[in-house]
Amino acid sequence: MKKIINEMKVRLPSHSENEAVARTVVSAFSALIDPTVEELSDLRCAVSEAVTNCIVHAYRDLPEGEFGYIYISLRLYDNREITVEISDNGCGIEDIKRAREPFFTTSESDERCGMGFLVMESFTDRVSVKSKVGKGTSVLLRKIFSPHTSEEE
Amino acid sequence: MHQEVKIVRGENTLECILSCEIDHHHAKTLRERVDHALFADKPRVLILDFSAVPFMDSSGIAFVLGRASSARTLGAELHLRGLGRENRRLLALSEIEKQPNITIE
Ligand SMILES: Nc1ncnc2c1ncn2[C@@H]1O[C@H](COP(=O)(O)OP(=O)(O)OP(=O)(O)O)[C@@H](O)[C@H]1O
Ligand SMILES: [Mg+2]
Repeated sequence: MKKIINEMKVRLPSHSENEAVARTVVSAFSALIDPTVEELSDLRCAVSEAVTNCIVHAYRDLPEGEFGYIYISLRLYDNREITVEISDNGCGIEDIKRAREPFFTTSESDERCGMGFLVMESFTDRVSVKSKVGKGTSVLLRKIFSPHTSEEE
Repeated sequence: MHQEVKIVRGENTLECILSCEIDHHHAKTLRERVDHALFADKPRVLILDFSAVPFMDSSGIAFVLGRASSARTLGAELHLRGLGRENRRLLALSEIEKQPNITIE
């Protein structure tokens, strides 16, 4: 059985400045296992996608000036696995399978390409999505980091 | 606001040197500044330089595809320069090389 060796919870208002804050949180949390530049960059990018989706889609129906919260829960396991759960109390996703298809987007006005879920899938080891219309969405990202080798390069 | 894009005008080219993270937060400003210069100048080639871009996500993909489409309306080419390994991998997900007017250095 794998054991949790560290955990962290963060709550951020759905302001777009917090996309960068969320990425910094991931870097800080992952520092303990000294990840490769590439692995860290991949996880940062995947988290950025999920957090941006909360800001762009989940709370899209809120009146101008109001915001919702994004909850980020990070866990580090003793097998060099990190999980990041990103959830919101927003509008939810009607058809998750369709939402995960590359190039699918519900946003026409803004410049979006529907690549967010594909990026999450390509840059982590597993992506699980749970959602309830009117209640919110939760995305769980899982990434196993390569074994540590101190004398490499 | 700090400088996120530096614009260098050539005879037939317009070079935009980008120097911020390209996420949803920054994409709108970048898009407006690049398109504004592009439609004012109408160059034959729009060059986007990514060497000082430390991070990019799918908002960066949309930004590149969007500028390719802006350039196309002017009959212009889009040239991508200075893409690092991570950014190349990201853009490859969108099969960017299939765009008719994009070249990658
Ligand atoms: N947290 C969320 N709440 C509500 N809807 C969501 C959420 N996350 C994703 N979606 C829905 O899933 C669709 C696909 O998401 P995805 O991230 O793949 O693409 P996108 O956000 O539309 O575009 P891109 O990520 O390329 O900018 C979105 O257009 C939206 O309809
Ligand atoms: Mg998205």
